[in-house]
Amino acid sequence: MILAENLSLTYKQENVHIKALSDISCHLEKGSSLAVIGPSGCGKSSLLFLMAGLNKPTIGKIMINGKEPDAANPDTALILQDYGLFPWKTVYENASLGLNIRGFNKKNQREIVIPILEKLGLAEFVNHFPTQLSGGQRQRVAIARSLALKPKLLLMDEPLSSLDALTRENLQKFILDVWVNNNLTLVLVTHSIEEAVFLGSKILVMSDRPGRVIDIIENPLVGSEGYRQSPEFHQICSKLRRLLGVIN
Amino acid sequence: MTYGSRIIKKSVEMTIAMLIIIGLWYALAIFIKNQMLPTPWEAVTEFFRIFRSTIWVHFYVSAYRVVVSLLVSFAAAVPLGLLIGREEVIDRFISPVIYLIYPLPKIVFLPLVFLFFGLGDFPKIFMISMIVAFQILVTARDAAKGVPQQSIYSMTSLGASKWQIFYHVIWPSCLPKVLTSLRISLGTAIAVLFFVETFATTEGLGYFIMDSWSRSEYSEMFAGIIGMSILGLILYIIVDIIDARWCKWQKL
Repeated sequence: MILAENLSLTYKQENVHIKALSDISCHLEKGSSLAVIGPSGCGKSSLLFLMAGLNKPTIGKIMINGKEPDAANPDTALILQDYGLFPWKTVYENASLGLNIRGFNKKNQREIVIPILEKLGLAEFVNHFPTQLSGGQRQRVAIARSLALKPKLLLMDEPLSSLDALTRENLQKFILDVWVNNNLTLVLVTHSIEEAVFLGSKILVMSDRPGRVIDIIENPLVGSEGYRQSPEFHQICSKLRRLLGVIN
Repeated sequence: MTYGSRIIKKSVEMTIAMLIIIGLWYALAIFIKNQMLPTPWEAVTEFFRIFRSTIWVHFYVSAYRVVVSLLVSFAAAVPLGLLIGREEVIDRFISPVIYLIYPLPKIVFLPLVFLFFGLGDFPKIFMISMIVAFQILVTARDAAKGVPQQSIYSMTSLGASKWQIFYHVIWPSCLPKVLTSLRISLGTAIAVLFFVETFATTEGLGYFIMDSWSRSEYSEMFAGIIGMSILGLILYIIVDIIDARWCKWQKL
């Protein structure tokens, strides 16, 4: 599904060249999930933007299903941390925005969006504005918008980082269900070790800027019943802590 | 609070505010005891007495001039401002020009404008529009510049075209600021209206006020002032209504 070879990215900010990514290679099979973790400012989001086709690598190449990523590709959906929902649109308008942009007529939009909102427990909020929702509800609306387009690849940039711990764990479970039930390939950028282990069938550990691959950890038990409480879960968490240089 | 009860609450507040203003005016009129400042009662009776015969015609002409000016400047300045704010190339060429012209008091070109466009309504509308458009233009441009890049990424990843990004994101996110600038420019627009109506015209509230003054008809002059105030108030309320309808999300 995703194949990245020797990716490097340098961008220019106020006439200074900043190297964001250096020599990143990884691959991800269809239907699996990748959690990208690393210190803040290490280029995790830049990597995601390359996958979304919002940016091009300076060196190296990236392929999604054998093609270069294109921002307009309807098979790829991107969820950003804070700015995904528009406060001037209602829940329904936000959720149907992707369909609206792609030219679906009003009737089709309703037929697709309403069942998704119902499934995500947002049915009673269709006419609310985002500011009237809790943080967790807002993220679910963002997810609803992405699912409406029936994507094959879902990219999420720190989707849960602004939520409180309880909501966060609930939504991690929720994202896990969405991933499993919709045949998605999932890429998730996070700075939470538990979240990476809970959601990534592969975990890409990145170094400080310029982001390099420190390690790619296989996490085959992801999604299994009671995984969060299992010793394997904690082993992988400890390994990540070590790799990221967190001292216990 | 329901929409109805909010309107009632606002009306009550407005009535009290008006009574206070009238009270102050009354006290001042008694204190000064000069025929140049009639009491509110005299001015208001005069306003109603000559409303149908005189004031209405002038009110209508003034309202026409200022409303057309506001519509023209809004329609021209908002799209242009948003475009300049989002398109770096255009911004690089136009913004220095705006920077130089903005602080210039455009009103000093009044003689030239009259010279080029004659003495009808057009030069007046042109003058007001030019002044108001600049204020709206600068606000719209800066508001559009402030739209977070993340919002644009979100739209691009949904497959949005440039036009769709303007329609769904840039325009609605800048609208509250643009309406605020429109509210501020209303005062300017009416001030400029007054000024341009004191030249080479026999219609409009500005003319009527100056004419009454020269005839020493102070009650009439105040009736004209009341007319101008009502014009301003109505326009202000209209902007408020637009704001309440189009920017509902801001008031939650």
